[in-house]
Amino acid sequence: MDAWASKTFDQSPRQRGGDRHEDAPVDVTVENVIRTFGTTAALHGVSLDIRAGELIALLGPSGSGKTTLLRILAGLDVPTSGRVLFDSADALSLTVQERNVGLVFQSYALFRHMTVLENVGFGLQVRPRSRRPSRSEIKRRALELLDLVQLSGLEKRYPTQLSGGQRQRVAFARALAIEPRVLLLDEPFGALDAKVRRDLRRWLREIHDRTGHTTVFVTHDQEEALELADRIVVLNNGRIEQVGTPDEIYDAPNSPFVFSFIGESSTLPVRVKGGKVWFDDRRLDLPVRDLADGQGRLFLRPHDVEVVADDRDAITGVVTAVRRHGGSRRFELGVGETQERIEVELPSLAEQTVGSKISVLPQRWRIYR
Amino acid sequence: MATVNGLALKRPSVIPGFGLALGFALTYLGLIVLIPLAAMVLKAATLGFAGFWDIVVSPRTLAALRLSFVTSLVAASINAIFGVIIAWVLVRYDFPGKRLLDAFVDLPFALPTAVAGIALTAIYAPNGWIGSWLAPLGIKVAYTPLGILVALIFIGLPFVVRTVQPVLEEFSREIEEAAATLGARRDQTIVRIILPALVPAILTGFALALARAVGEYGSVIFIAGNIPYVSEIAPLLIVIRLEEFGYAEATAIGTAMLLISFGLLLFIHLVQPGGVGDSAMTDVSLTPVLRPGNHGTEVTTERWPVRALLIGVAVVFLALFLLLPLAAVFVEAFRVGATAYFDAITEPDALAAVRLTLLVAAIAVPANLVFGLAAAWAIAKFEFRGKSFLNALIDLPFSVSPVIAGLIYVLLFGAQGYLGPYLQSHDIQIVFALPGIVLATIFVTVPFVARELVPLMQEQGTQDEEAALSLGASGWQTFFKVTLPNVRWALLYGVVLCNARAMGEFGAVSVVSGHIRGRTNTMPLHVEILYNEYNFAAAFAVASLLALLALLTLTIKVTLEWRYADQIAATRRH
Repeated sequence: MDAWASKTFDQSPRQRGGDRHEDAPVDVTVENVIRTFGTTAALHGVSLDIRAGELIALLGPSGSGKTTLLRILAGLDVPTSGRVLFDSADALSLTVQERNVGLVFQSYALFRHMTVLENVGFGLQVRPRSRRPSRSEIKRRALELLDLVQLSGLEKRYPTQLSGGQRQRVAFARALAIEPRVLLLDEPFGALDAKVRRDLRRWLREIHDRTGHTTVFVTHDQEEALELADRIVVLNNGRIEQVGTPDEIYDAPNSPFVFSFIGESSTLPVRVKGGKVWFDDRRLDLPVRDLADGQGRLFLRPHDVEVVADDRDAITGVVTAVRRHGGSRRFELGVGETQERIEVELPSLAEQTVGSKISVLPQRWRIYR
Repeated sequence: MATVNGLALKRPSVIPGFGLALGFALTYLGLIVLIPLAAMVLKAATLGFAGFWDIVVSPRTLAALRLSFVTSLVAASINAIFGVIIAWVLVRYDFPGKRLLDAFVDLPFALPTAVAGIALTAIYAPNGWIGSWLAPLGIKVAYTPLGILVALIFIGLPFVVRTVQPVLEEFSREIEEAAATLGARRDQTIVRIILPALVPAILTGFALALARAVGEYGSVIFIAGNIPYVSEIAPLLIVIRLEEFGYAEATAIGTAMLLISFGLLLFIHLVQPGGVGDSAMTDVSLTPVLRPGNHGTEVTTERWPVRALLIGVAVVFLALFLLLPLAAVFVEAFRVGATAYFDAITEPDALAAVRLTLLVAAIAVPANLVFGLAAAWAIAKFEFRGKSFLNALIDLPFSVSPVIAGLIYVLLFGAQGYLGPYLQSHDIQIVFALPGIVLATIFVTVPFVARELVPLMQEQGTQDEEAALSLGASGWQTFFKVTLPNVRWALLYGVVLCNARAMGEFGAVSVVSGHIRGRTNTMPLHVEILYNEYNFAAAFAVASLLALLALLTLTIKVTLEWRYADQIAATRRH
């Protein structure tokens, strides 16, 4: 734990939770959690180990079950079956009030009739008298948290008088005020514009490094997940597709879904025969190990290709469109007999244009059956 | 028109018709509302302060004013408490018959007050449905201030429900979930988070109910007993003074009522909690996550005993105050048999009353329809100085007692009135004739169409009209082909409510009608006459026709709300 957290929250241990230090980050274990709504299943048996102090992203398209999982962790929803443990203790037997998780809502859910200071102090204010800090102590802690989220001086404002980014930080401070064992964020930057979003991302990473809470955030923005998270959990249709560090997820996606969901990708139908990859009638110069013969799909990323002069062992196509893409150019190629579309990225100085012939070989790629 | 545009518009606009719309709206309001009200204030001024004060503090006036305001405050408070419970139950819980109950909340708006008055009396009189049970216990409701309270609770019931309901519906579940994750128990969430958010709406509903109750006449006079110093309300005293040709007294009491009402409303406006900023939702608007089972998870609802108790309280309260009076009308109407019933509604005087009522509505409703369109066009499509003032002016008739609405026309057009001599010399009769009845009816129904149209048209903005104009449509083409179709359901909605009030108006019409049987008696007045002649079955028979009108109004209203909710307006509180 860092200096800030222990300085502020070195209060007596909670009644619940035994001799553990109150704000010590906890491991979160999700075991085979199933959640069905009527006949539709939002989560089909999800298992996940989150290590204490980790910053985890739940990434997936809408309807993938990421928010349902977050709400189950928070105690706002109950799984149809399965277990959730905080350290080794059953979390599902605790009500939402007892669970002591800090949840930052996508809409922030600030209390409109309360000042910023009252919002942040609310969680302490509603504690039973035996655990409630004194009025001045509540104020002191709330002010300290507002300082942490860089909102000093705005404590007397009402939420309607704040910008989106400021509201987001008030919601964050309010969640931190209850000394949460786990911090949960639902699309924390979803409602903000791109610039503010980038600033707050960096800021969130810094705060996490300082306070060390076990933190889970939901996002559909892969860039956000890649930049911010220690590990990413990719969800699809209520199932976990892959769990891994941003590098693992990006560089070694284990399924076509992950490959196409994270980053940009193109895909081609290929055949594997005798340790060689065939596209149409060409044998591509790609080393394949341990791949049984049969049909598959080759996935590649536009920026992970190399232009080759020798077109016999490469993917060759005619440029159908050219677009500027930041510091480089994107070429859309029609390849093979069926004119499959793929995108490749070349330096902006590349002289090829619509109608040019380009041969490329992917440098990183995967074949899925 | 160019000059008008240039002078008053804050932002120039390509949309035509500003001068015409604003000019018509202001002239209409001036003639119907402002000049007559000014006549009363002028008349009061001629009394001098000493004269005015002597009348107001005379024991009988003082007693009447005190009774009116105290019972109104108590009734509005009771309505505030039960209104919140009813709104809560209707928004938060599901139970059989909920939509029907929801529809019935508006009954007091649709049921003519005279009908409500005789129905409540039938229930609470010592020999009445409930009164006969209470009498042995020594509790007397009808013909006491308690009876006045019952009537005022009835007529003010919808206000708080309808102001709180939309706020509660929009209240985000996430706010409650946030409170729960921060450790707040359910009761803490309700007391500290939800109720404070409802306070502005509760106060607004309270103020509306209070204003309505203070001026109420029709429902009260039947049940009150009208004993001077005991159960005589201020509006009744105005009527009594008028009948005695005591114009000075009537004017003074009317002016005092207006002043106290405005003072109270101003006070309520000032104590509205500050610092909350605008009423816009704090949370950024996001499309709500449609999650199966999202409606009332464990976290955001109450335990079942609490739910059952609240539903029980709401249902019993509504049954007692709404359904029972409605049932009483029909039961009493057929008490002496179907033959008597049909005789009562087909005798010549009754038919004349029906004809007059229809005629008055046929003039008043279209007049207010045109006014509503003009006012909404000016307010919604243009930015001009004094806009919020005009908006407030439209609602003014809602906070003026119907009796005062009648009084001002008597002061203006009556034999002793400002224009009396002129009218007499030209043999024009306005008061105690059709024109007076129409004017009084228009006065009390001025706001109905306008207040449906203004918010909706403001919400819709001016883009459609600008598009039509840029495609070559003329101003009138734009109005008839674009604007009018966009607001047609809201317009119908406003017309239905306007019509219900126009046909059921009692107090204002009573003052200006002269009660000439077969000639200047509208249906509600005919009910009163029959009732006062102890011809109860006939009174209830005619009343049942008005009750059917109320039911028809509610049916159309609810149908419009269910089918065209999005096209009526964001706000549906009436």
